[in-house]
Amino acid sequence: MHIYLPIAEISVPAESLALLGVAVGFLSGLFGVGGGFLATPFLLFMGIPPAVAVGTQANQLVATSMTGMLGHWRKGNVDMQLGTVMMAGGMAGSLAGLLVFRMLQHFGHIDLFIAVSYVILLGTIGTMMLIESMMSLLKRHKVTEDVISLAQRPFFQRWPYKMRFIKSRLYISALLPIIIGFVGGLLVSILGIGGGFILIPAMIYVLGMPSLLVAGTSLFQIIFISAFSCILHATFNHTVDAILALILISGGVVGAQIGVRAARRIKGAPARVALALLILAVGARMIGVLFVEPSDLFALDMRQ
Amino acid sequence: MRYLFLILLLFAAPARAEMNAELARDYVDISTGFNGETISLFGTTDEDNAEIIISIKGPESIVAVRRKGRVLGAWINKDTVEFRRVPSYYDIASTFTPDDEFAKEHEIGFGNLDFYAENESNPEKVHVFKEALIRKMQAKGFVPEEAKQVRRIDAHFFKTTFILPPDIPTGLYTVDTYIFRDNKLLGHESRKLQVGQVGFNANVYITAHEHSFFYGLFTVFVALISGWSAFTFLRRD
Repeated sequence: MHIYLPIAEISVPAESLALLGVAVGFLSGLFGVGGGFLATPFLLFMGIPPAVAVGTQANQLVATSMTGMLGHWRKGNVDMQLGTVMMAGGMAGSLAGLLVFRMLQHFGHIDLFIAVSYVILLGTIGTMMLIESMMSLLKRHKVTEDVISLAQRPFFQRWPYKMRFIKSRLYISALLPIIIGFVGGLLVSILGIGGGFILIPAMIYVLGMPSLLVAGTSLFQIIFISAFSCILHATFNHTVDAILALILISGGVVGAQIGVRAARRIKGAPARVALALLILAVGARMIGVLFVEPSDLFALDMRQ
Repeated sequence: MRYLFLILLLFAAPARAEMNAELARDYVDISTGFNGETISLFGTTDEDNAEIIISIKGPESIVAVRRKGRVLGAWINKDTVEFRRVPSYYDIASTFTPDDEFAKEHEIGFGNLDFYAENESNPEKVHVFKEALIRKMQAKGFVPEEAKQVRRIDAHFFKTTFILPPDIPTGLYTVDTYIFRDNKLLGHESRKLQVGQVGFNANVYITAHEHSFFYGLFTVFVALISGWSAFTFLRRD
């Protein structure tokens, strides 16, 4: 069944969209990642314009991060204070991201930028995850909790605007979470991904947050950042497709249920190996886009 | 001498044929289930078995044609040529196959339209990019390659049908009917065709463009509610 998307202004098979939503939801249920890194490239592949793909993804992120955050909230694993400080940086980041996006679009390099960013991000994260999960699979060594975070080093201890984060038991410069939030905001606005897989390691290794609070807190601020970015995209680019978002969200709800059930049967380390391989595969596909000679060197860019 | 001139003038004046052409419907409605549509045109003329050409043209816009080149091993967009006044859709139906010279003179066929490159003066480059533009528009299905027939119902009455694809660009279309005899233009009729979203789709589109801030707020609100209900109603414990 084809469905005509009012903002993307193309007709696409509704089944494949719903299936994409299910796949993304499955990932988020199984691994707790947003799945945006999978959704954006597939939307582009289906012929949805990059601006609509990213703008709509921001909307879908609001829904998935809301569902995820509520679960952590109920267990009391959200540091609202730190989340709010990160959010301040995130708002600035998503505004900057929107400007960068428009600029790149004007010069015709948005596809290139998305591809390069994906290669760098997914390549780095995928490799790190693969090494870590393989190590824990082979050696079964204990994960050391007491890593010395960057924030505790003397250089960062001297940074101004020190704040006490009671729940996370941290006394660090507010600039650090603001910078991390800023990067997250950039990712939402330019790539349409929540960036959980960047934010979470950063919050552990840079800020030194207790790992129990990390996922909930990052989801908490992603809700607001993606909502902000979605409103920005809607207001200045008119590129949020409500119908496309609704199909993706509905598929995502179903997929998340399957993912959560699957998560009970699958062990942590092998699942992380699988996720790492998936991330690397998407990265490799993007390398292909960049380095394999395209069958057609020409492309059209229609202006309204 | 003066009489001779008048007589010459009389002969030189183009013979105008009486003609009429009308679309069966002057609008195409795109709703959620839209999967392409056909649009018919009927016409009459007092010329017996005249040659007929009917073109359908989408709204004109600027199209940037980009060519990828290799930079540090990666394929990135290197050259851009922008064409002005490119119709977003173009199709043609006729009773005959016009030769190249005739087609050029009367701007028949997508490649013979007068869209021009503004930021590029090198004619060879413009030619290469224009070829690419034509090829890509054909590949997208916005310039159907297959030649369509104008069907003669009798010597004076004709009909043609265009098939519009599911992803047809929206906007105000122009449908032109030309009547020729011996390569001379005898008559021309122009009709407008409105291709646009209707109903729910149109409302979404209009709201997104005219009340964009509230539209954004609303989509965020819907997303929050869906996220919340997914958690509340589908909780596993």
